[in-house]
Amino acid sequence: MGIKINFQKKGFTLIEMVVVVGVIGFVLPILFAIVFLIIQQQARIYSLQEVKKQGDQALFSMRGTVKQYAEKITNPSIYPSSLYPTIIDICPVYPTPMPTTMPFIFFFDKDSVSFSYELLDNKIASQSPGNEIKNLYLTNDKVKVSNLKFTCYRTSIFSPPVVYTSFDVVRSNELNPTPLQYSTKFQLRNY
Amino acid sequence: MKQLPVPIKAFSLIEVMIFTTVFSLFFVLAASVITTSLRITKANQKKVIATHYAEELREWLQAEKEINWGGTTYAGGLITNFTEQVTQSTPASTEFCFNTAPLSPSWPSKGVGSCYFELEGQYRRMATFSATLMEGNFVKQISVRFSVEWKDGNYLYSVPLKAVYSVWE
Repeated sequence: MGIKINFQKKGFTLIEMVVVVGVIGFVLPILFAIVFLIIQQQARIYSLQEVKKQGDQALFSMRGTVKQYAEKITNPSIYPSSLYPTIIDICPVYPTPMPTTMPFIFFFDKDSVSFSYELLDNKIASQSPGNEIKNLYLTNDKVKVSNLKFTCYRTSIFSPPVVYTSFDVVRSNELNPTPLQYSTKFQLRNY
Repeated sequence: MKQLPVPIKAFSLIEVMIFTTVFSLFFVLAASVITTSLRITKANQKKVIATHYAEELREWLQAEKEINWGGTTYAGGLITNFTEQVTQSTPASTEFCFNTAPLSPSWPSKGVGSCYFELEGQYRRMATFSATLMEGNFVKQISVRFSVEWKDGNYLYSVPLKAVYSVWE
């Protein structure tokens, strides 16, 4: 009397395979979307920190130098020349309306050597031909600076000028960048 | 010829329930971790901007102090200098709401009663001034507590900053 054993082929059925593939196909896109979202948020924070770092550094550098060394302020149209032999101060006494904001103004130190800051290739560049400084960048290529403006006023006729400056900074390679706006004012120590 | 029955392989109800519970718990925990992580990341992003606003106000007040310190407390009438401006409620603290960006040249009215989250549509920026007096009504130093706040759902986030202004700095 022989015993017949029913050998069946081991394997998954079609319905099992379809269910498994369906679940994987459902979970994986969600997983990738979440990971992408987290990475995107982290990248945005890094961008923002970079923008803030560059903006802070530029502002700190400009404010420190201007406060410490500038004594007189004039604008490009009346730069000292044969026509204007002396430095004509442009900062009026407040509450006279402040001069229109300008992309750059000239600061003069105690030796009447001029220096200025201007926007060059979306970067803030420091210039001082008398000190052999040309295109000394205060920001790098990682960020774009725009709307650099200066103006000044003084609170009384014998008080040092107050310089007002503002600029916007954005991350260079960001698709929809939100600019970080910088604005500050400071009074010169010397005049 | 006798044919042996082939046992049907299957999971029991209890096995399926344990698996489903563990699987659900894992997904709930994962979702919770992801939500928290995203919220913290978003909060960190806003914190960078809020810190920027707080520092901007600190710089602005530093300039105000340097331009016209004054030196006496407010005694009524027209406000002419920094110390008079920030001692309007002395001996209590004087509070201001600076909800404009960039900061306007003139000071806002004192008080934070109507300081809503209007700065860039989501922040509010406040400063509380406390004066340390010398003899009489002369001001020795002004302590300031800055606070930039924003809301995210039921959470209220804040970036605090402190500064001290005195005539001798």
